[in-house]
Amino acid sequence: MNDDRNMVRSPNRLIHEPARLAILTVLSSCESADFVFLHTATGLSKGNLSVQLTNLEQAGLVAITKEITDKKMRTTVSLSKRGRSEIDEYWKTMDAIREQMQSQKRRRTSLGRRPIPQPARLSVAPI
Amino acid sequence: MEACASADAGSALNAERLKYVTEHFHQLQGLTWVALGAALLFQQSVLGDLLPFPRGLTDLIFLALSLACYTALFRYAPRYYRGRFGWIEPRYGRPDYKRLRFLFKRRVFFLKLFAFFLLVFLSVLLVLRLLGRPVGHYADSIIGDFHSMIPAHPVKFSPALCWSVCLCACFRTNPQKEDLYRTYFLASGALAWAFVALYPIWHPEAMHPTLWKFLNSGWIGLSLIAWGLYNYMTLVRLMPKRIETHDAEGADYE
Repeated sequence: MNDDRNMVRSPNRLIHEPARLAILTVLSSCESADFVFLHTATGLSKGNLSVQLTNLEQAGLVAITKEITDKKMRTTVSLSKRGRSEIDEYWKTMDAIREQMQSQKRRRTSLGRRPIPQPARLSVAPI
Repeated sequence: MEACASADAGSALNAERLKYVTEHFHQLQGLTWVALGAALLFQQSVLGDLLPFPRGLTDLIFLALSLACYTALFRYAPRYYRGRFGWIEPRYGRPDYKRLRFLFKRRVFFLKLFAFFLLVFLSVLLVLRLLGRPVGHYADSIIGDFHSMIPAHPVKFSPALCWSVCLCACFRTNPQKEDLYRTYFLASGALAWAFVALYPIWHPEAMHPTLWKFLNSGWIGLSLIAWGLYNYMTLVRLMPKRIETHDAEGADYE
């Protein structure tokens, strides 16, 4: 019974990777962003960024559009509907994990014992 | 490659910073403010006294400089930001129920406030109509004291007031930890302009130099330049350091 209460849905592993999370965080705060902004804001190298964008596009989380303006190729990236709901879900899951950790810590300190850092129990979710 | 990867991992994850930079990207494009401020500053006639040239020539020079600033504002600043920092389309969120309720409550509050002041005004008017003469007899001496406290020369408080309003707005919007220096910046600006405004009360001779006249007449331009420079530095500070790589993987995305 107690174990069931402590179960928290695991975060999406595709999003949980730092580089991809940074990209999705930027995209969740705007309608769309170009490649240069993503490169500058996240600080990722161009190669890494392009690989991560391809992964996210293949997963259906972002939509990439390319257009030629002033004789230059411009890549614009935006979150797909699914991507937006996934990132919102991810932050909710992370908040739930944080809350659970804090409540465990409070419970331990209220019992007068030294708090032992333990990771939250995660259920196995399909990647 | 390993160094690049570790730098990537370190620079990528700071969700609050990323959100702040993305949401305030257009506001933090300070160089456009600097160009506008400089253009307004060059239109001040007081500036002509600073150069030892004939009046017509100085006017022509400052007009050319002002036009150059407007060109930078409308042509080069957007191009610079697009090339250096990229471009985003901001998110226009629909006002939710909580926001609408807050707006309605605020409107009701201001209506109540207006009604209160109107009532006070009408009451004072009525009292003065009935008891004007006896009150005026006693009030003359008090008003005389107040009148002696007003300085003989005009004091320009609008710059300090404007900066104070911005400071209050900054407090009201609950400053985020990513941009805590903004509060100190606005507070120091308000203090500096208050000092400029009040200085001639103790030193009346300070009103005559060109510098004091220039500070008073060009306060909008100077304030815009200061705000622009601060916003630009904030944007540069919040962006992670660029990692220069010579990989060809990202070339097709640029």
